[in-house]
Amino acid sequence: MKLITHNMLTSKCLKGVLTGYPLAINAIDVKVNEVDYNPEFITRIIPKLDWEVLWTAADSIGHSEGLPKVIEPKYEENEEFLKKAHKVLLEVEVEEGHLTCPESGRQFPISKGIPNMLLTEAEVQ
Amino acid sequence: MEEERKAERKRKRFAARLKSSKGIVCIETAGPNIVVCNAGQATGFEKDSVTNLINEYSLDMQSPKFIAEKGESHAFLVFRNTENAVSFFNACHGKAKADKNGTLMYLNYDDEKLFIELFDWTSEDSSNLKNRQVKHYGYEFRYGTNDVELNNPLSEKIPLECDVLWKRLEEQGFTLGRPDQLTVNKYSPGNGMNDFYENLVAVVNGGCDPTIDLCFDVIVMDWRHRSGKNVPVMVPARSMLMMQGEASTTDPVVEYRTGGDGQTLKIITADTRQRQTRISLTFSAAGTVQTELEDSVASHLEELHVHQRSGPCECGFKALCDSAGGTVQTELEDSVASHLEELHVHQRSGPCECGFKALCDSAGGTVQMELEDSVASHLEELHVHQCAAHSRGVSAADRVRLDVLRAPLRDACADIAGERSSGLLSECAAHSRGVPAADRVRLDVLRAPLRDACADVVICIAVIHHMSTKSRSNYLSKNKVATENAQVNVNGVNLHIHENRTQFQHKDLLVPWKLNAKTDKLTKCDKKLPKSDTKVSDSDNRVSRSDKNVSSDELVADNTLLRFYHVFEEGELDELCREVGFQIESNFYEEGNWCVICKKL
Repeated sequence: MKLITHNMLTSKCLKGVLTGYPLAINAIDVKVNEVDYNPEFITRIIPKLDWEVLWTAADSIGHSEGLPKVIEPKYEENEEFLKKAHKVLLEVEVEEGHLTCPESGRQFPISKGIPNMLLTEAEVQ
Repeated sequence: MEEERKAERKRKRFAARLKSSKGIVCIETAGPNIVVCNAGQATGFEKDSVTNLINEYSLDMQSPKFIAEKGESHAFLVFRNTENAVSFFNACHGKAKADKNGTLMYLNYDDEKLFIELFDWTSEDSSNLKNRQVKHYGYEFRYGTNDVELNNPLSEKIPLECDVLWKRLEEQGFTLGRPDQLTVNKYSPGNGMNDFYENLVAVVNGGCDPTIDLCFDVIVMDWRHRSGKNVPVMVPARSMLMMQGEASTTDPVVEYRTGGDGQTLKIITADTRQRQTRISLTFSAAGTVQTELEDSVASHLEELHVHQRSGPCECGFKALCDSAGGTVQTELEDSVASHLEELHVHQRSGPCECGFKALCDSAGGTVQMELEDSVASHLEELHVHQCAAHSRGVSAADRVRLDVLRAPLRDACADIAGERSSGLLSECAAHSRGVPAADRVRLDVLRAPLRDACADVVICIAVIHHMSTKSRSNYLSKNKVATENAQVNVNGVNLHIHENRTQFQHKDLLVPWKLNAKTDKLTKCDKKLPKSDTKVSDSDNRVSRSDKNVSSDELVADNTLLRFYHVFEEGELDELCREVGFQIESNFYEEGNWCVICKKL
């Protein structure tokens, strides 16, 4: 699971859960896989993210170093920032671990890099 | 007058004689079949004789079919229709000369002789089951699984002579359509039907399942309800039994069987009678079975088993649903249904989480393994994309299309592939390796765990046709994942009908799928296949529609899966998208799939 994906995931479909966001990450195995750097893409994707959630997620798995807590105004011109964002968004992957719903505490296992967000009939709204 | 009375007397005498000596039953009402009582092969009566008579009496008709048994002094004439038979009867009965000696010819109408001629074969042309002989026409009825081999129509179709039955029924006000599957059972004296269940799929045909009994005597069908109630029904000779609606669909509830194994049969009045040879013709509309599921069973099953399990059941099977005071339904909703859904729709990863250990363990856990291999490849998938469209392949056709999509976009977008099946997800992972911003989440398409308005493009491939009517619109209308103005690509039907492209007449159906394993592998294996033997490399080929090569009934039973499909009609998918407020940008039909590209407003 990449952190860009984590930025989109919620557990709001759980019974009694309002937003279910952000999910807490408990990582057992984190990998860094190098992928091609595309500054245009990073620039374009950043406005779509909840940056604070991204920072907290990166911090929780030990990859927040050098990442600003708040996005600076002209971030698209800051090559160093974009590279850092690129790494956190696309290269860092949680292979094993689990996600935890902030409201209910329900845990969603992450196995072989894939979070399992399936719910049982009894759990849904 | 005197001659007429004489002719009538002779006719009755011959009828009685034919019945006692040959078992030929003559009837009083006119039909297309006539038995010539006192002329046949033994007396030199030939087909030409009949033709000559037609000419002699200036009858405007084609020569009837002529059936004469060697050494017999009677013959059968099968006319094209009853009118012709009546004309011939009136012209010739008691008047025409049957031979050069001037013997007058006497006629009788005959009925089932025709069918006996057709179906009274010797054991060489039929398969022998215990206590009976069986022959199939149209499609083969499989006794192992009690369903019909739909994909391999037999070369021998239902004999055209049977058409007279449907016409006659229509005259009586029963419009059945034309069945395309016939199973003929011939029971020797003293042998009854065994306890007999017909599989839901085989029996359901929306209309009737007419069984015609050509027994020369009454039989008793002992109907047993699940509740333990017994209803013996006496079925007269030459009668037709029709099962409709629940009787024909709720097979575990109604089972029918006849007799025991004894030589005599108890009739309700405590009379005992010697049993005689019995020929039973069971017709069904096999080819339309899958299509006929729509109105009756499919919606019921699908409501219960697939997705939409909230709210009251809307099926028409109140007796079954209500038989347990509504609890049957509830139980199905909560327990059986999710088990069945796991089995039939979704792929399971890891140990089965259902509570049905007995059922699961009865197959030694291999059911799960096999299912994982087979179901894994094809189930539901949802693609939720951020920023731009592309995804990993699903079937070979999808893959080609998506690869085309991918090429210019592979570095320019982030995409999240959502999928229910872990098998497909791992394949997806392998396929999208090297694509920088591709990721995968295991999820339920109807409960997507994604933030509202996070996707600029949503692609939904080979999913929506597995949903019930309600689920389909729910999925689209409650889809908050797409942003405003997001492009939503919905792909409707994906039936994976390969070489055997079928025309579906109805919209909801259960399609039997079966593991496509190689014959040589199978012959080596017992019915529990080791996982390694069931693997086929390409995901699209992992499951294919029933394959003739797999012959063992037990294997069929173990490996056949019923999967729910909704077949979209032209414009239906568009309408669905419009209903939920999407703006259609384009639509197209490709490889058996409807595709719509629309915009969320």
